[in-house]
Amino acid sequence: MPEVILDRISKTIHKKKVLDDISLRVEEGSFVCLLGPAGGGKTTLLKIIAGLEMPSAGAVYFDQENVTTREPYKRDVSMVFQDFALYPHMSVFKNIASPLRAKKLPKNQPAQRW
Amino acid sequence: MKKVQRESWGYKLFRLVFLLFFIAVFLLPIWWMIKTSVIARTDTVLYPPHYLPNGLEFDGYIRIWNDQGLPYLYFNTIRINIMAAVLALLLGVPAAYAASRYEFWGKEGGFMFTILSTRFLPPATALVPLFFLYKYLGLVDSIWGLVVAYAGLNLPIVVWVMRSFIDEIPMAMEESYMLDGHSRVTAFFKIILPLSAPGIAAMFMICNFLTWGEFLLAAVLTTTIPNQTLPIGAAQLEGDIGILWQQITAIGVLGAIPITLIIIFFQRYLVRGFSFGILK
Repeated sequence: MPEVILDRISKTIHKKKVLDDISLRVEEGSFVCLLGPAGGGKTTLLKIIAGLEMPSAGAVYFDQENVTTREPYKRDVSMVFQDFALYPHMSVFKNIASPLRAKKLPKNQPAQRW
Repeated sequence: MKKVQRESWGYKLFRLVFLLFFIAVFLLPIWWMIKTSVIARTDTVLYPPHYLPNGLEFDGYIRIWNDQGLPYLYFNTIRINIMAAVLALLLGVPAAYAASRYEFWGKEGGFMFTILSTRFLPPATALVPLFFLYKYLGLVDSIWGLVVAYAGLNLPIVVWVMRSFIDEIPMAMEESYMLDGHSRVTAFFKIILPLSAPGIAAMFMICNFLTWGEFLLAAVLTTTIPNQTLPIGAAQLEGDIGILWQQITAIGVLGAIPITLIIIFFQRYLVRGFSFGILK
């Protein structure tokens, strides 16, 4: 698990400043809780760490490495969503095997892992 | 338990009569078309008209079958419309995805409006410029010319409808798929496309019946039989010796069959698709 560093992150959505100059350091192996009122930008910050949103300013570092522009699927980050999203058009097996498929494991591998 | 309120007998009867009346009004032209196509040529111009055929005669169909060009045109109409619908969807669905998911300058004000504004003008006003453009591009009198023109006619509608359809698919769905380790492109193909399949089916159907009987563009942009469509063929049956109603209506009946089949097939798909539960 890498150390996560946020360096002066700002985010503007629809001309409204959602995050303003946020810096944060999460050390390896630590457990951090972000508390704030609804609409305070907690989800936006998480999405920026996961790579689902791009910060308007600032940078994200994983172990000193700048990952600000890295695609989410190359970051190896997990996130649990507020509304848990199942893929309604896929079977239970495919829903669960989705990350394993993404890693391009051989076809029989998902079944063995479970 | 609350007692279910029964509809009164009179209301039921009224509704039945009301609906039958409208069904009759809407089906009358179709009935006339089918009837005219199977009666003798001399009977097609009878006045007052007979509402039921006295004797069947398939002369119109036989003449069409033996005609040099018409079977060609029939096949062309099916081919051009399906290709145009597919092309409009191939271009329109990714555009709708971008309009739904990405933020870019002038998205709401400029982009979506500009796309729709291409439908503001009546097609006739674009005809002459389009013809010259096609002349320079070498697209006059070719199947592809009509395919591109029809796809262009349908594209704004595809983008608008599919955009609102994709808006309905929760963002969390794709985002969680991307966090599983899939790229955005994979997420588009595996999440967005399957979930918007009912919309795509509906748009395929709508694209087809918007251009199925299109006459103006086809009349101007094509000149020879291998590239023309059925409406042009039907119009040419209006000759010096009068209007060949028998054959024109036979073309109408035959021409309506593929589009009816498309609608029946995709309608079923449509209803099933909307009852999907997405977020729990």
